[in-house]
Amino acid sequence: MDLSKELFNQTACAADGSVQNPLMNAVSTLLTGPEIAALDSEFNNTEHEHFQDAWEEAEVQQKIAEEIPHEQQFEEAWQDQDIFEQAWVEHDPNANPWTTNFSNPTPEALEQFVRMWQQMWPQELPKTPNYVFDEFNPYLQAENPYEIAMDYLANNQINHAILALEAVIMRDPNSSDIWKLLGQLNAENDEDFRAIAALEKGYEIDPYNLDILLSLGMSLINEKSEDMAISHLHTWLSNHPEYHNIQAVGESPREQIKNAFEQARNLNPNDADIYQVLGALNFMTKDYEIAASAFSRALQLKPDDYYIWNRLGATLANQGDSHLAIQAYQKALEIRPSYVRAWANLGIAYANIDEMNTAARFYLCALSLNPNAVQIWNYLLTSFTCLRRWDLIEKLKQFNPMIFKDEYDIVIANDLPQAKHVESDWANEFIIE
Amino acid sequence: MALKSEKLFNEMAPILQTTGADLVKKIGAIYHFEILAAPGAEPVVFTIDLKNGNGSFAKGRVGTADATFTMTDDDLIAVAQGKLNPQVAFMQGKMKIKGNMAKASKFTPDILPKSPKL
Repeated sequence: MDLSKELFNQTACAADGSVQNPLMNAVSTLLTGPEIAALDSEFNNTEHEHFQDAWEEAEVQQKIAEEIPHEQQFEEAWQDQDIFEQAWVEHDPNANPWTTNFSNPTPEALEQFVRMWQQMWPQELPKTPNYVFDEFNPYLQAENPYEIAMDYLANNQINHAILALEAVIMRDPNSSDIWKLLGQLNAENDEDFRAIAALEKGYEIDPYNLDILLSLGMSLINEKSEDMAISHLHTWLSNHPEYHNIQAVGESPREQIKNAFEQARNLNPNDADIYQVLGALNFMTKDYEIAASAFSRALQLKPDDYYIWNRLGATLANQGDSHLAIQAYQKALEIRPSYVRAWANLGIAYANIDEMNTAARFYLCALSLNPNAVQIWNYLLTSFTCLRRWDLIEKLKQFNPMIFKDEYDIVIANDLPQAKHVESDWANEFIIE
Repeated sequence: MALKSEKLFNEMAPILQTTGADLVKKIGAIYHFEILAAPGAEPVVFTIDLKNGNGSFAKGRVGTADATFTMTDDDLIAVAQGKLNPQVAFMQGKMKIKGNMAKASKFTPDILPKSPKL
């Protein structure tokens, strides 16, 4: 029996490309996202559980035999190759993981490998091109969900605003403005896939909407979809009353799009959007000094635009200066304290200077505002792993940021600081004349 | 034409400076990545050493790998972005793996760089 073929045949692909596989679905992994965590309970004793049993048995025996404190024993199970080997061998005495290789694997070995690997690899929900509405929406029957959404926005409650806007769009699916807002708010919440799905819907309805095209460009660059980003940005120019006559010059798509926006900047040196795009394009091509200069010029024109502060921060971070990046992210958060992406980026910056506890704190701030951001749970797992806090890793399975309140000082949605006005002076030093 | 994967691996270098030692403790393996620009093309090999010191990255086949992953450039990027499930890729034959199974299973997104988002 060729197990890999067998497993493949069991794998039915849904129309949207997501994969349904009873074996894979049943395996509980540490970070499968809050929705899949519920499947944990479905993973009962099946014939596939030998490995799990052997693993747990090995752990239990070690615990009894040596009475090692839990945390240390967890660490040993993670790293101790003898227990690992024991678990493999107990299931199949002929399978020694340290010599088992892929040249002639037994079906059992292959199965064990896939399951073990899956346990180590945090799962994310399948990404579909269509906007995925939240399952539980308390605003579906509300009389005026739009008003509710605006109230929540005014109070920095982005998740609730998104839910209310979803209720609006379900009644009026042809409103490009609402799709645009859904796109922008999801991007703020660090959900680029959903942001792109919403923005694409808005673009379908209103292909001339400049805000939508700009936001799409940014999210697509984040997702490394360079060709699509460039295409949308060209469309932005050709739909713009001031810039539609520009003829781009250049040998490659990258050169052409940069050239086009440089021409636009020459036509109008006071358009913050042009500087933002130039910043994003140079970010994409790793010309970070030029990108930082462009974002800083944009900030001179719009000092209270928190998107631009975050973008400047991301640029400085990629240039290798985490400390400066941190200052830029903090400015973004002063203006928009609910900005999940900036909190997450702040955590990444601290992780890069090896301040893992501070990083964890900021990831938790992000998660308290958007607990559905699977990638941020992943970042938190990495931080806890580096800190060797096995006790905290255990708690991650509950997907509740609030249970970490004793360890970390977390800002929560109801308790955000007041938004402040910010001056752009600090950013002026990055401007290249 | 440079592979997208090469850009990805280059982004790892600064990460290794700060968290490399921890990754070495956690993973303890040397990986070779054979990346094809397109199916059937001659692979370009990259070495990720997460066994020695603070970890390192090199272009080319350096040392003996504990596990070797072979796949197309597009597929590796898709895996890194979370768009292609690596276990599915393996089972469908898009990702081939040679070497030690236990060490191969330690290849997880932790070793891939986290970038801040615009």
